[in-house]
Amino acid sequence: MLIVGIAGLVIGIEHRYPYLEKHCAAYKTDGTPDFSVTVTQEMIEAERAKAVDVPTGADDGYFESLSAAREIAHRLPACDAFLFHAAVIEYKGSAIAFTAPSGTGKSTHIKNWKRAFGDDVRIVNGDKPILRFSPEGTLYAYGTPWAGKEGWSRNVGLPLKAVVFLERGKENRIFPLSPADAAMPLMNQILLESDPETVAATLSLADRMLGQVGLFRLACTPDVGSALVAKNAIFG
Amino acid sequence: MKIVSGFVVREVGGKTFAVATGDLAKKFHGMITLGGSGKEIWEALQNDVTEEQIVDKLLDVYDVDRETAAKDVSAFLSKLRKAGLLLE
Repeated sequence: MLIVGIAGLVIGIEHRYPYLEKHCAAYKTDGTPDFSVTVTQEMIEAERAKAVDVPTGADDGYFESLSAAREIAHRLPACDAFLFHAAVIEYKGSAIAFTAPSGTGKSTHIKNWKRAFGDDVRIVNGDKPILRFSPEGTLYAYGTPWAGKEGWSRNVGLPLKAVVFLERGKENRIFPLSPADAAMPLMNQILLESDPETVAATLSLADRMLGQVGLFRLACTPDVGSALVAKNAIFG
Repeated sequence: MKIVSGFVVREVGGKTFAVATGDLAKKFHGMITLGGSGKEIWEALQNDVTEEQIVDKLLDVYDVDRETAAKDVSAFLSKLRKAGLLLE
């Protein structure tokens, strides 16, 4: 069994193909798992059937890795955590999550933060970070091995300061959002297909999250100015 | 009539959502926002009720005439019926 440390949790993964082990190399650990998941060939086939935007050369090993992420995601809410479809950066010790449907330009936007602020910005995860509440109630964003096409991933956790809902715009404009306005777009980017107990736990985590992080809607262009506008609104 | 089983209802950011879970989630993707009278109608549909009983319930809670309440109920029910979420 492969043992990985993600989001402060020790997770066991029963799997078949070598791809996953390589994919999770930076997260390997040892110790007794907090929980374990098993990926079956049936899950791999189901993942293949669901897949959109598949990279060339994607084989059973690749889909096994996606299945493992999904199985782990089902177990997270019981640990005060959930998988969030977003790109997360670190800026001066805080995490900012940018979320949007695939293809909106999350990667382009976080590249603009790198261009605008250089070494003050480090990418935490490009696609599927985990958000987890600490026992004290602070929400942390953690890198995971599942980081999208670019593979941008670091095994770190940082307090989440804000969530930015991205959309394409003709000019760069940012608006604060109320928790009520952010609720639906947030839920669209969280895995909600699960058993009743897990869904209920996920929804209560989402509700807590909306009450304690900054919430913004950013209409943005692909230019570097989008990062400046966003940074000024979030950090002043 | 009655709502199919498998929904979890929670407040998120001050809005009420009904989310399909378990086997129901395989057939019905997505979630339902319950605003205004939607919450009361949903609650009534947890038990086997008639359309008229739901209207009566709304008239207990809201200061509206019967016609308006009946229209609300009928619109909400027809959405649920279209999505295959009503057991009749």
